[in-house]
Amino acid sequence: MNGPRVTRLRRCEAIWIAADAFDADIIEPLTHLVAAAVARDTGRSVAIYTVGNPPTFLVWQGDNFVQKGAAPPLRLSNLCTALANVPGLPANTHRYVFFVNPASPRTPPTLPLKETFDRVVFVTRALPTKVPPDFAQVLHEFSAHFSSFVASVLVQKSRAFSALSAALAGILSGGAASFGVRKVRDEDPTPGAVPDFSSEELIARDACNLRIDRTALKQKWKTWDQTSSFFDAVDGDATVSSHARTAEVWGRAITNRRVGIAVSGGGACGYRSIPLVAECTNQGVPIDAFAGLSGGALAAAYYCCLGESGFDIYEQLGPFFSLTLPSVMYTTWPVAFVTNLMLDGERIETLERRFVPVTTGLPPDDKPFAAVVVSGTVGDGVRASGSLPPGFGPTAQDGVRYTDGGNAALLPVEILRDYGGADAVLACDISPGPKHGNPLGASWLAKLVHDYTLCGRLLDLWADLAFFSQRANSSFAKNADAFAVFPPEDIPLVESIMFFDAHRIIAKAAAAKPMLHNAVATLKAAWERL
Amino acid sequence: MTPHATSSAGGSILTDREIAERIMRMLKRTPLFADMSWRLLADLVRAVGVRRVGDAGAPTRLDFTVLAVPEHTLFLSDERDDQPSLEPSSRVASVLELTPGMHLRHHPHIRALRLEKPKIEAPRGRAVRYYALERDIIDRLPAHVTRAMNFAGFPDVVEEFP
Repeated sequence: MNGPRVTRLRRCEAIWIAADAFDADIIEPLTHLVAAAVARDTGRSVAIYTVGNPPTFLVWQGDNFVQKGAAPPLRLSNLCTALANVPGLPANTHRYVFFVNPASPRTPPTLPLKETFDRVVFVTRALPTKVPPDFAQVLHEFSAHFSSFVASVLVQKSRAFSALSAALAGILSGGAASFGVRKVRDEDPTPGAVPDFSSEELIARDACNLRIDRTALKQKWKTWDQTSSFFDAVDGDATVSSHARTAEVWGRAITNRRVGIAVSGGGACGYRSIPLVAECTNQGVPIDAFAGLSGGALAAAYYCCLGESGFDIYEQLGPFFSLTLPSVMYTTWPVAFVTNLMLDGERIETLERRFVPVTTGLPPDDKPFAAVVVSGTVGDGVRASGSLPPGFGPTAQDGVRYTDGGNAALLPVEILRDYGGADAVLACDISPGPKHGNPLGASWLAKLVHDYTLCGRLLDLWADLAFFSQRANSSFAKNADAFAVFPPEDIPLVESIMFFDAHRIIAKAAAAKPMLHNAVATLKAAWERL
Repeated sequence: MTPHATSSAGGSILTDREIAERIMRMLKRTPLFADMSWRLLADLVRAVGVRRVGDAGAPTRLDFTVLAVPEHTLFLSDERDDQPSLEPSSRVASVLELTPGMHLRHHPHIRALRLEKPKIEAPRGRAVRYYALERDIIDRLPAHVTRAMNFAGFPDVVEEFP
């Protein structure tokens, strides 16, 4: 028989950076930024093909793009060959060619018949719901899959949060929440049906937000002296350096190298996320998406909005969260209000670092569903994700009660992949299991209480719940690239309400340094292979 | 005929989503897909789709490179041959019983059958779900997907530009 022969594989990826005409003025600087970010991040061959008369073909040479003669004829094999001999890189290195047409950014460079782009990156102002036909025409047949169409949405930071108006609105509405959810695709009972995501879901998954100050960026582009790369020029200018970070996140989204962390619930155990993120930073692993539920969502919210500095606020708020515990039985609105106050009313749909809070919808006249909060304030996302009955009041919207995300997925690994667009995922069970079958320990008194009183059954239930939680969390982590689980506790579960003890919880979690190091190293190895 | 052949369509209690997830894990365990991200793998399963083959009355032509059989047994035979009997006692030599697992076309056992036009079928009275990555699909995948596939297990398949 003939072998399983594949006739021609291209080691060269053709990526067209497109935009509508009204964004033509920023498309070339954006292309330079993201192409440089990809080159620096991957260490692979990268080039920019700029359509014009004549066209230019710039190749990344260590720290800048340089022009090497006239642009080769526009054919993917030609460009691939031209990129094959970059000094210092092996000949079989994967290569990226970014195409841009500054004069007419939505007109594709004309490829020969039967050649298609591997990806189209569409810089836009609103998230499309399907691949526009003109882009589908120049893409391969799987245009909606494989992150081949990356909608890159120009967003602005939310306007400043007004505590007074938010407080008034909260009081007048009785603490109502306002947010948007996307239902997690569940089992399809139709025989033969595979969980088939719609184009809208895939595009939303692959999308990326760009916070661009277009005036500042244009000005920088005009004054760029080209002695160093545009990326370096931007990175070295404090007034626009945030654009370099934006380009790094964007580059990872475009090249399927997005890293995500999925953490379980566990109330104050969410503080255990802090040493985990610190270890990622130590090992140079970026975090582009953070999924969590309940206490995990609370930690994720502060990180996604402010990075590691957000954790300082989160830690300082520990005593406040403890104080709210009695009141949240009635309403969880204070948690959302304070989170919004601290995070300046940031909205989920405008964050560059993806925040993926998981919740459970309980419609009164339909079956419950798992969902991800995709719009609304970050505070409302945390609130919807953490309303664990009966201790926490429900978060209601449009007649649907939203409760703790732990009922939907104890560890949102697959949700982070399918709704947060993460390519490499580190799962973390922040809620440790029990060290002993008897949570009171092995003293004679503990044995007496356990063995000879009815309290023993409650102690068994306590240990059982903690053990079940640990086992169930592990089962949700099977498709993660790495899994971090903290050492068992003498007295499990109790820590989840000890927000006031944030500092000690963080210190104790940080003491599990070897485990954290190994988990992050495993993640890093998986990420570097992408 | 296997004793549980009268089970309902699908043949097991696994949902289609579970089957898809199981296929992803099977693919991930092979050197070919070990370095591919779960996200791309998920798309590879979605884009190609999990297939379902009915009983011996509906054999399906298949020229696969990678075949994942998550549940039950499939039969692989050569399209040029006559329809083989599926009774175990009279099974002909050119029918290969594909037990649950990963089947790669270059596997010595499959190659030994010298199949030119393989077809695939389920035991009588049973439908079986499977995943097949055919050679022409690999040809049509974008570069960033094939980049994530390690063809070291298929030494004769890669022909690169230039």
